[in-house]
Amino acid sequence: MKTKLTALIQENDNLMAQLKESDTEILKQIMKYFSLYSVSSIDSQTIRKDLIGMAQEAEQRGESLQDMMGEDLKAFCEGVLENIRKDKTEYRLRMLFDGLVCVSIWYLADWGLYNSFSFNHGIKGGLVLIYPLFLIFSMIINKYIERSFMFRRSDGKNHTPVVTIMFIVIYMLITLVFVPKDLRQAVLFYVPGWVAAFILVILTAIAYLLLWVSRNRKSQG
Amino acid sequence: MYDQSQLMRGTLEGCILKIISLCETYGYEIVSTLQHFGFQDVKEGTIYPLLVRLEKKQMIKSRFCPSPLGPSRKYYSITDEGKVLLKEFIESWERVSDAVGQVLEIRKGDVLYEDKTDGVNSGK
Repeated sequence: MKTKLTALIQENDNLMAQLKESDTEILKQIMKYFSLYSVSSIDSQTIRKDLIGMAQEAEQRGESLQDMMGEDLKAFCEGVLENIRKDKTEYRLRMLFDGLVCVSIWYLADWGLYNSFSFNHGIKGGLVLIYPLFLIFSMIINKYIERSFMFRRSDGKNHTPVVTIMFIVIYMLITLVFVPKDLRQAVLFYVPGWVAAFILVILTAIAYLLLWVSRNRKSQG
Repeated sequence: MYDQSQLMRGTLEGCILKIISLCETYGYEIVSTLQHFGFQDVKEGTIYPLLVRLEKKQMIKSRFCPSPLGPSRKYYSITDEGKVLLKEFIESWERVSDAVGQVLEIRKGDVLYEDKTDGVNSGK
């Protein structure tokens, strides 16, 4: 059975597909900005619906969403954020899910690059230390650093992915340089690579499931 | 240059409430009305956060209706709580604008007020 939220997302996706590319781009940026804060999904989709309506009307008049919003999109977002319901549980679950996805990507890269996806690859002591740190770092990166760089588009381009990748690379270099090699290599306990990958996938799936349940419980309430 | 944003913030909300109290209306119409009465810099992006705020506080309510331009439009109308807030806003505004008007008319040398302890204060 479709929930109210799922139906709203689907309706918004269909309507957004009919908008001009420039309007779609602005809407995506605004929604991305809201996703960095503890805004509930139902509120964020309701706002998205309003903004799509605004963009549709602007297009009918030969104007753009940017004309309606003004230049300062960040101020607009901040103005809306002051007045909408916050959902801390959903926010924390989303942070955890995003972080686990980043750790999984790094783990797979590590597994593939250094061990050619060998089933004999084991979780080493140093990595046990590094992964939780990387998880926390990814969560911080995803939220706080992106907030600062979201709407700084003096050259018309979005720098967020570049900034995120840059910080992740710096973090990886720091851990490579400062975490002693023998600590990284030390085998505290041995877990086959596929088991570790399986655990990561299960953890990520659980985080996503909890997030989904939290979103839908709120939208039905 | 004088930054109008802080001054606008409080007054716009009252103006929006007044426009909505006249008849059920939508975002673009509210902006057009405000621009017509001198709020030239106001855009839909300026009033949308205020509409969200008023709706959350249940001062206004909204519904989607088909519009002549095609897509469905969000129409806002005032609630009973909104009418009370508007009345309070008008009273506050009259007091504040009267006070500001009087202060701005003070000239150098005018008697500012009579102090019961120290006597008369002047703007010298």
